[in-house]
Amino acid sequence: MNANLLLFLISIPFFGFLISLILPKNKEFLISTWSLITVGLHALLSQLLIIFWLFGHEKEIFFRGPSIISSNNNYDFFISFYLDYVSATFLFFGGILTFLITVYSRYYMHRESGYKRFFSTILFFYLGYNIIIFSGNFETLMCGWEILGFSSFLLIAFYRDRFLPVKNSLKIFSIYRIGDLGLILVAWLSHNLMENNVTFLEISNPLLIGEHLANHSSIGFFLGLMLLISASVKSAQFPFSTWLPRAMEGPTPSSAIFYGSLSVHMGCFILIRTFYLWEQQLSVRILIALIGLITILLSNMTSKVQSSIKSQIAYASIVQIGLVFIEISMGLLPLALFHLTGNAFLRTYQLLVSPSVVSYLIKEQLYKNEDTQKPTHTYSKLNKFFYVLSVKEWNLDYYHNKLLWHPLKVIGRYFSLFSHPLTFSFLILNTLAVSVSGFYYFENNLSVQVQVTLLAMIGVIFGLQAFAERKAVIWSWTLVAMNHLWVALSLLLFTHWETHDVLIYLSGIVPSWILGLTILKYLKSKEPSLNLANFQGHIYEYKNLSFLFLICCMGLSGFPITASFIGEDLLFHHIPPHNITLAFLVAFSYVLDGLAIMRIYSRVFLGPHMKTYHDIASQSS
Amino acid sequence: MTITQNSEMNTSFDEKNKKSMFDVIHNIKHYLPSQAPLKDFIHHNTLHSFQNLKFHDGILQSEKIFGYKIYLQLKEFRDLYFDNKISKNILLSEIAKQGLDVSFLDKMLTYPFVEESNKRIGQLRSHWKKTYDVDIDLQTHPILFRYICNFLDQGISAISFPYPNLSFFEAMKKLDIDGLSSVFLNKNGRARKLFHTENLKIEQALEILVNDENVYETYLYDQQFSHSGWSGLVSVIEDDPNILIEKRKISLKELVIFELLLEIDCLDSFIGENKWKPIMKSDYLFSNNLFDELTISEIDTVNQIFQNSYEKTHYEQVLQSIHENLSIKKTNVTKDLNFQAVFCIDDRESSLRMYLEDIDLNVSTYGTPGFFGFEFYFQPSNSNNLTKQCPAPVTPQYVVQEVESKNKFLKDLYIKQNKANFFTGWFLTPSLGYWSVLKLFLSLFRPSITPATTTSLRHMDKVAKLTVGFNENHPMHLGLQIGFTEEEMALRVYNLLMSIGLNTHFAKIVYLVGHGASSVNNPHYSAYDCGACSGRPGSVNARVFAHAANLPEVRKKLSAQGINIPDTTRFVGAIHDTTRDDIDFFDEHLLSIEQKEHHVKAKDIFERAMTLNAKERSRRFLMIDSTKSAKKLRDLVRIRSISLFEPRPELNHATNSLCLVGPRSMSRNLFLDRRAFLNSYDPLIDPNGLILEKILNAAAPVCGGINLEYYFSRVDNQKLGAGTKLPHNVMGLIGVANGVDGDLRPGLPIQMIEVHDPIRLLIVVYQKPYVVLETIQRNKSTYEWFKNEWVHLACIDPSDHKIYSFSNESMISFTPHEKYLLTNTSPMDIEKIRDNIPPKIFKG
Repeated sequence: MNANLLLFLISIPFFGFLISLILPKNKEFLISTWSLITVGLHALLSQLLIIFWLFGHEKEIFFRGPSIISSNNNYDFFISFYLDYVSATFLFFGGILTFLITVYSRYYMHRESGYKRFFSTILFFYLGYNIIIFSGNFETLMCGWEILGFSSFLLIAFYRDRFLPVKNSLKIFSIYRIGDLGLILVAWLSHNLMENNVTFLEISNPLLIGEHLANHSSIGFFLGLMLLISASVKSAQFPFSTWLPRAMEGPTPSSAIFYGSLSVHMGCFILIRTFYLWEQQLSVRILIALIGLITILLSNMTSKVQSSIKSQIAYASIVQIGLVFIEISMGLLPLALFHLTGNAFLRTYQLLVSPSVVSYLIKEQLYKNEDTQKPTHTYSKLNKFFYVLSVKEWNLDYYHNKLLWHPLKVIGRYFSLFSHPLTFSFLILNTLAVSVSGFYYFENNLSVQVQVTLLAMIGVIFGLQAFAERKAVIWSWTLVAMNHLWVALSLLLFTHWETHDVLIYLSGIVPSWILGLTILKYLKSKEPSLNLANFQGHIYEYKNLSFLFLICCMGLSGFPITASFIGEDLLFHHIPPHNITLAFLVAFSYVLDGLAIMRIYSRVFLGPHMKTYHDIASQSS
Repeated sequence: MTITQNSEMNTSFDEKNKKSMFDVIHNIKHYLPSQAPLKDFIHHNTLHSFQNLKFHDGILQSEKIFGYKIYLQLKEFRDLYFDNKISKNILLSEIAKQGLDVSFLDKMLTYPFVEESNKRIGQLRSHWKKTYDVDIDLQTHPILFRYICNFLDQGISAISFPYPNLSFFEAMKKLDIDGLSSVFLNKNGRARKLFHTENLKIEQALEILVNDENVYETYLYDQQFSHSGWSGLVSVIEDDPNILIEKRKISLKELVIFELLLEIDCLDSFIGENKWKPIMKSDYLFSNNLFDELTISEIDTVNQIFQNSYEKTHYEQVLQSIHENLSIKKTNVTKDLNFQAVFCIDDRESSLRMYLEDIDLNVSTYGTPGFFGFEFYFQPSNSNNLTKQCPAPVTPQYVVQEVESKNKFLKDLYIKQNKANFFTGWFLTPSLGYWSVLKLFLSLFRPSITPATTTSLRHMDKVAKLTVGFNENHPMHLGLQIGFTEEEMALRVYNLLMSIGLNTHFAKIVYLVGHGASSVNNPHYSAYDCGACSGRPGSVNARVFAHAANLPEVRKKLSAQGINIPDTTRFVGAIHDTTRDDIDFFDEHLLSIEQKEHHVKAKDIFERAMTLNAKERSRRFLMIDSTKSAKKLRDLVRIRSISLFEPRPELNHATNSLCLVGPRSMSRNLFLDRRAFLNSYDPLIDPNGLILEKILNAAAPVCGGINLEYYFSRVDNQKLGAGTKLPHNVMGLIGVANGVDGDLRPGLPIQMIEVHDPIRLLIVVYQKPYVVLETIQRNKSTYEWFKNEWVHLACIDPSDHKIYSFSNESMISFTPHEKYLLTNTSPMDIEKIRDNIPPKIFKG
């Protein structure tokens, strides 16, 4: 079978999405028909593909795109796609469900403001989904991963004029970023381990993996751990479960498909896809099973005490995914795939009919006999014991805050004491001088490593400051750019002032930063009260400006729309395998950047509008 | 210009000091939304708490205090003016009424007014965020809502709340002790210690948080109005615990104390127990009392003038049209009628009545509140639960039981409670899952009635029997009398027939048509049913009335009172489904052969009328091409009622603006675009307005309540409405919220109000002006509606058809500012118009 078919299949949502962007906003019929054609065609072709694949001899189809950038030191950046039974399964239910939901939303979303935005975002999401499930290497996977995270943010914050959707989308974006951190490190480690751009086809060769991992069991463990973290994040497993119910802020069909089925099973996908990477690590397998088990125990109780229908379904879904995790850890991959497909179908349907629950259960109570209808008060002593804890979702949110976000804020604030202009510029000049001179005077490799790590740490400090900044918008935006500059500087050191790679890295970031800065300055001149202390909802009056700024945000965060995305990958390629600290710092600074950037966007443009000449949502909605 | 509250809320600063906490809580309850749980959704004036003030003053207060948006946006008003929906002449006259110059018109249309409002609510409590950077709402709300929702839950959660019989506060205490984890964050904090103090007073907690008695009240208002949805529901349940099937004891006071403790707990854990000071002990300047005097700015005047002119433009057209319609000579229709039909007053029935009478001149229709004067609880077969079948304020003493029903409760495995443990879940998930995708396919491409669908036709089993008559052997059930005695039936039948003026010239068949609706995936389903039956289909009432009016003993008693119903006349109950335009008749087998012939003909007329009705309704649905044939359109309209993906099965009362009280000659052949509640009334048999009084006592609050709920949900869909229903999440079967952490959203979703024009109701009565004036002044609470202009009133003198309008507590002769030319229309003329259509003479 021709591997170009895969490319063609992915290009359908890609072009569908691009064209959907230019359709006129008020033409509902046109917009939804276009989306339906895109998704319908894709679903049809993919089902055909699956059938051919089932009856063909090739068990795997692999497409390797041309090298975009390659260099002599083993670096090769290319896009590749891969179809095996794992992608086929995800394609099967993803295609069917997205098609059905598009049909559903055609009527459901009628007259809703944001009709076009909804369908464009769905296509964007679907594009990301396809890139992930077909990805043939980590680069391609990351590409889809970014799209998925970003479109999730947009879908959850669909009702951007209200406080809770925006707040929750930001929160979920932040948690996703933790998953990204894990995945970036996995990609970096596996590259270094295999000494080239490893593809998933190669990974599925146990001999090759065994050979490479034989002498690096600690790296193998670390690899597995990182994978598990990003999988648990995406599949809302312990300790990240609380985000899933909070993702149910968009219109019901989008919650149904993305958070009920597609998005939430991505964690399982990652684990299955990389199964051979950690297959030999017993400790990792036990850990995965353990996470699944803990999730089952906690979420099962949590789901039972939920008195809102959507959170009940969300937690019930999490429990089943916990079981899938255990199945995966035992190596029962076909069973896991069968199980998760059923779960995806079921939760989508349950969420879609969830508004019916009122009339149905009230009728049930009204029309049935007392003895059969009384809700069984199944509160044993055990239930009482855990009741409050289950209602509080086992305090997971509280601990996220206490152990993760709050310390970050505190550290960031601590460092912002340095942001007095004089001290600050002194700090910058000093580090610059030290590091540059350091490079010239100490030619030996070790000191370069130290210098680079130092620079990266300063970068992280900027990131932290940007993250913790609560007032000045423009300053925060600039700090993000500073973070990138310092990372770029460290890249320069590594490459012995080879400007080529640095230029690639900065090519998307600098223009985005400048354009964003211009937008913010313009907005500040119009709205002097602009700040980061609360949500201001300026999108109500500045729709186009906000879209432009969103693109700047994507550019500045190294989203795969500019070459900076490849630049990031290049940078990691230069980090040697033993310098986990450095890799972690750089990856961490990306995470912080992403958070700071989305916070700026949300605070400035989203949330309840600060002007009150129209109806404004209350804080509690 | 300034306005003040003049009721018990009028409190000077000194008086406030003396106000007890009980009064404070009581007053807060007064201002909270008073929407009942979803199953009993009943329309009411959203801002009822300001009804003791004049309309504009009252809503303005609500704006300044609570930050509600109370009019259309200025831009919308201006657009209406330029679209000629606001008449220039009327606008000028309204400007003059305010004592302003003509030049003000220019300002109204072009001046860039600043419309920023600084609401008073929430300012005091914003201290925590401003001073300590703790978003106290964000920290306490989600968990508070969860506790309340779990406590009140009517059946969503699989493990129900452990202590359902204790009151909320006591139950939480017990839970706090019995469980592994404390209800609070700080297991050893002072909040928890206070929590377990005997006879804890609100003041004790407030002392820690606020520490100044003068602002306790303001703090509590701030707190409770930061989640008015939940507070409102708690307040409603406190006042009437029987409103829930699973009874719960909860009071606003308990909620307040518990929330105060949560706040202390939150501040203690985020800042540290000794690191924060009470609000009034810090250097926080606070001077703004919620109910202080307000100043009216120019923009408020502009809005008022626009609003009044907008309404009057509509009123003037209607009044002139009715006047003209009355002067058109009607063919005599009183002899040999084919049938008579009594409908609900509901505006959705007005067009069906028009089509019935248009198809057959020998049909006459009536309108009256759809419980048909019989107030009772209905007990479905095999059920121990009762459901109220009369207006919400009435407490019936009767129960009507359904017996020998063959109705089976249909199960849906996908919506039932999640009781399975994870192991059975493991087995069930895939098997149910793969099946569900087929179900989804079918429901998208071939929608059909499923167990999840609510339909009016299934409310009562058609073939089951009802215990309408009183039986001495089985007199009582749950303290209620089973069925009505003949005396009681005769009284109710008499009252109804006199009220609608049907006391002679009976046709062979008189239909009593109740109404209900069908929908699926619709938590607000009961808002679509008959409001006069407490949000339920009116089928049982129609059948009960028909049964009573057919009894020979009852008729004997009626004839003693002067109503002679011929033996050849038979009353037949029916239910009209307003969403599907279906009708179902009850007890048809009891008709004589001759009556059956009439009935068959009548059924055909009903069919044709409903088809045309569906076509007229389809105009408002943008996704349907209304130029198609009526039959096709009726099918399309029907599909809406069973489609999972349809958030607008029908548009309910949207666009309502009128209520006509008088004989059908006022409105017969008049096309009012389904905007009018129609209540039949014969002024000739009611010279003293005794019947009118009863009609208005019901119509003003009921129709006015519906109208104002639509008004406020339309002008501020975010705070007074429920927002868009697309992301709604069902909470405990009692309310909806956005997402999982949000406050309850009372009011109407945007899908119900988007085509509504926010216009106050105009009641037009066909009676002499002095009789009307006297009548409305007899009942103080009804009079308040008119006096304070929450509902407008006009009357037409039956003797000379002169029009009067009620203003400044008197009836003033009405002269239009803008002449309206009444023209003809037909189904073909209107089929392409999506907008409201001004009154026309209908020629089918």
